[in-house]
Amino acid sequence: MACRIEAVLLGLAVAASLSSAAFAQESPESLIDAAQQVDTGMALAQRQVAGRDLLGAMGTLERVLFVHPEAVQPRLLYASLLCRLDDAEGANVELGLLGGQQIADGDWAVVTAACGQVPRPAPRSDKGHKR
Amino acid sequence: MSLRAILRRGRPLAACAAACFVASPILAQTNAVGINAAIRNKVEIRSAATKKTNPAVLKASVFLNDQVSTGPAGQLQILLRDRTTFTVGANARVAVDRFVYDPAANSRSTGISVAHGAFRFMSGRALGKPTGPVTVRTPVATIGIRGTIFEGVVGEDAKKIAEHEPAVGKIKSDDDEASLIVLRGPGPRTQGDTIAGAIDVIVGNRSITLDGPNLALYAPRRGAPPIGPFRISPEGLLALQSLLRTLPEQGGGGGKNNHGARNALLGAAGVAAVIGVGLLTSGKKKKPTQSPNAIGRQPAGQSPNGQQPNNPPGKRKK
Repeated sequence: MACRIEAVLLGLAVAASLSSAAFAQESPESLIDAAQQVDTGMALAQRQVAGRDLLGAMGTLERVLFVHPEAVQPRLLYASLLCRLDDAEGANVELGLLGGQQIADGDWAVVTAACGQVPRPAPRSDKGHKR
Repeated sequence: MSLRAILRRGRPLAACAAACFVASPILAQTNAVGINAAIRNKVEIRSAATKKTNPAVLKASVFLNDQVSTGPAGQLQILLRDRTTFTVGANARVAVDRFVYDPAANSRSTGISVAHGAFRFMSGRALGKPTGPVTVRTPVATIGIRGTIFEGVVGEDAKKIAEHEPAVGKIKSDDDEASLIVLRGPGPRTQGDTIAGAIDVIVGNRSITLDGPNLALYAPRRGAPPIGPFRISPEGLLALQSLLRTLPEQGGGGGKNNHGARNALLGAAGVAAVIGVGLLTSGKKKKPTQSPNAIGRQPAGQSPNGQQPNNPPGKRKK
């Protein structure tokens, strides 16, 4: 009986540690801090994607774009996630915002893998829309 | 070995367990509903406890019934304790007025009131996948959420966007009450650990389900029948994004003036963005244009069943 109690106590401590560790690894503060820089935000988003937490990755990328709205890679990954979440039109909107931007082949491959073969955003003129 | 000895040996372990729980940032703030996760431009929060209004601070806690207000270009993302992401867009007044989250019991209950402005709700991956009612209320609609991403706008901007939708057109709307609601997903072909999302929108005595990406519903005013579901146009979707999202700005850097986000669209984002902003700023009706990057598009204004806007599909319950 003594061994059982000790085992229970040890199990509780381990469980608490693991739970706390999980929280500590993904505390809200750490999620927010990671999004302050493009590279750390992208790394977090990619870990979340690898862990199949697509909505978590979306939230991370939105935070990155709050701080760095000009960043191309986060927006490309965001668009690819929209495709994976079956929101093709939303992905269209995001890709349309990247007109004129330089997009690396590797980054574009992520988009096409998720969205299919689509034209790369092309440089646009400033003459406005057609009627 | 005596029980006292066992307990003496176990004390450090128990103490560790207790400390680990207490040390968890989330569990330590049991009276907070979440924290400010991202802030852009002017955002203020009126404390429910002190009745004082202060600028929003990154990583500061948000408490039950705190009133969030954003300026014309203000945006705030709140990360709720259950990992839901709630984004507040421009010209908004919002409060979380119900929040119960108990991961040990796998239960939660969330209520958010949107008096004005744009917002996005995105379900998060909460510990233990708790279940329970999650609702967002506007002046004329109550939205029941089933694990999903959806967006909405209340007020004049809702009216401006909806008026340019083929399914809606020019109708009598209330500048304070008009509510446009759009389900963004996940769709039926979603990947990852997500399931297809859906929302049940109650307007008056009608309940309408939106269960496909970019299906929308418009409630023009109290007492009027809602219009929808209809598929929101790309221009309407972009106009909504201009209120909610950080869009590229010409010349780089974050917008500091009150119209940074919208003005930025006019410089850098291209034809579709210009049209999207035009819907919000000019009031002129514009024809939808084809996006050069279309991915499996359906014609704007057409329901997913191929019906015309005058005969929108959807479940109507009394």
